[in-house]
Amino acid sequence: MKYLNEIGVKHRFRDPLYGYIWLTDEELKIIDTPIFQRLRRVHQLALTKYVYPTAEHSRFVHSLGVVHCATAIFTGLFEHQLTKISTADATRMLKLLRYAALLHDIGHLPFSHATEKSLLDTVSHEDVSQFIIENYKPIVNILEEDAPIVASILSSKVKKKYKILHEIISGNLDADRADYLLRDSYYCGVKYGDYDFVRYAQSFGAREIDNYLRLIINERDIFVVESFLVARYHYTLQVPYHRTRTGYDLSLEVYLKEKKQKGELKNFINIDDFGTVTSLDFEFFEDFDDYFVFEMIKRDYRKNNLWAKILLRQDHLKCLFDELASKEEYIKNFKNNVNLLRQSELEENRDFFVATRKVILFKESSEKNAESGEKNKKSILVQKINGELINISDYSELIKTVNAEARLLRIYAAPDKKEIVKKIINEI
Amino acid sequence: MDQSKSILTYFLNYLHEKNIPLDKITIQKGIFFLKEMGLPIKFRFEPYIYGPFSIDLAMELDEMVFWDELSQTGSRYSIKKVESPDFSKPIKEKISNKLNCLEKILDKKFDFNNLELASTVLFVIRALEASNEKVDRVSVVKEVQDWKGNKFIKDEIISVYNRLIELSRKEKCLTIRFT
Repeated sequence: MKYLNEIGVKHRFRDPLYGYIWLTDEELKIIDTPIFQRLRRVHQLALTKYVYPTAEHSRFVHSLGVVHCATAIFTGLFEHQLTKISTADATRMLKLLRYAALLHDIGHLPFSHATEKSLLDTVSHEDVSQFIIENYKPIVNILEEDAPIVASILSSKVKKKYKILHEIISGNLDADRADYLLRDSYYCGVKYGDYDFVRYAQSFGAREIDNYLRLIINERDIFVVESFLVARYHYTLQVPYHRTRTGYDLSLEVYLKEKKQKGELKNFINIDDFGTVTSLDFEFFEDFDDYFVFEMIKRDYRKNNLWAKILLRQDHLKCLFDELASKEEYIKNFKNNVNLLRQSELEENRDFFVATRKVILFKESSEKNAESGEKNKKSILVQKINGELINISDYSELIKTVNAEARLLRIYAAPDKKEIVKKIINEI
Repeated sequence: MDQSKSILTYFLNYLHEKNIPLDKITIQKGIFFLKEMGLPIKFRFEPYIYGPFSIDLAMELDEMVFWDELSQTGSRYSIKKVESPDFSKPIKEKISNKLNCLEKILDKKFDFNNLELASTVLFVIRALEASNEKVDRVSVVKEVQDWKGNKFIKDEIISVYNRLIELSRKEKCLTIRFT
């Protein structure tokens, strides 16, 4: 509570995961703005509730959870025995971090990621969040001169000084993921994302090595990180990339793309040539939530819109190919099927859909040797009892053994094209 | 094909035609500059070991390898069957203009160190702009040295900074906001 007392927390919210989440006056004022209250009406897991019926939680509760997790990780990091970075400015840094944590999802569109692809061209929800933080008056009036700094912490264009805060929100330490693994699992009623958060938050030290901020854990804490990684891997496969959920995401994408093309959805955002958000219709955005989209879907269902029918769960895309493959033979078979479909009369993203995604246990494996043959300096280091520092991927037997990458390979068919897609696929 | 992938494809073909090796760093930094010069590219860049790096772009390249559009050996790619995007004439001219600017920014030197330094200097300018801080020679040198230590000497940083400023003011290659 040392740091929390220093920033002056006064209010507490009940939370099923953490007991209480403590907040300051200013944070509460932000929460009470219409644009933040909107997050109560944006579901965290979009249409995952069609797979796990209790997944009804919102971006609102997740945002509060990220404030809690970011604070715990920050405190754990700054008090860790292996940490050798300046803590002189810690109270101010924590204040900025908590604002960034609270507002990190403020720019999410209805149904979160599935909608983003259809409605935002060259920007992401992070860009929308930054624009809101710097331009939405009720929030700017609270943050005052901190507004651009908070926005920059969430953006990738962050100054070196604030890089540690960016890491805590969405980098290697990832308070965002720390909360959603626990919260999504809890609300879905599954155990895939469960891990020991209390220990995890206290496991990391930080220091500058070759001008790069490195995270260090003690050898004895390796199992905490391993269990987090396994939780993330299983969660990824079973919750956001669940095959039924992916089918609804694809349907939602097509539905909204069509609405946009037909001009049936208001243009609420302007983006310039530099991929910068130049204006946002705040009044519209305050009302633009899951319910807004569901109202459109309900109207279109009465007009026999196929996608609306699916989105009201009166039909669904048929998943006709589903493999988690690392072997070349499966991949070859999948590609042959896709090629046949693409050469046929069928229309991709209407009659059939192709969904692939690389799934890895440890994120580093995709970043390793990212730009050169040099060892990854972004990796977490493990300090052995004799003081030696070693990359986690060279130390952990679990990561070494399980780190082979695999790919989710899926082909879906629209309900009215199921038989023909099946026939083409069965030719192989 | 979405816009970001189309521009990436165009850039890969451009490097290939110019006999510039399709190294990861060249692609990463090249696309970073094109985005900062105003091409509609969605990939998000973060400060990484050798300057700005985009995991989204790395994943897109990975997809292209998966779909046999590219092949990969170590940190180098080669083109297998990349389709040329069907851009209209004005868009082609715009991209071509930005590619000329890119050559000027890099002083036609596509080597590792130059790519790292030039992209870091531009990244730092953007980070200072984002925090509403002063963008000048002193603040840029300090921030680059904060990220890179003594890897680059002051004169090297200033030389790149001056080049970017000149290209911004005279040739309108970039927009740099001075405060």
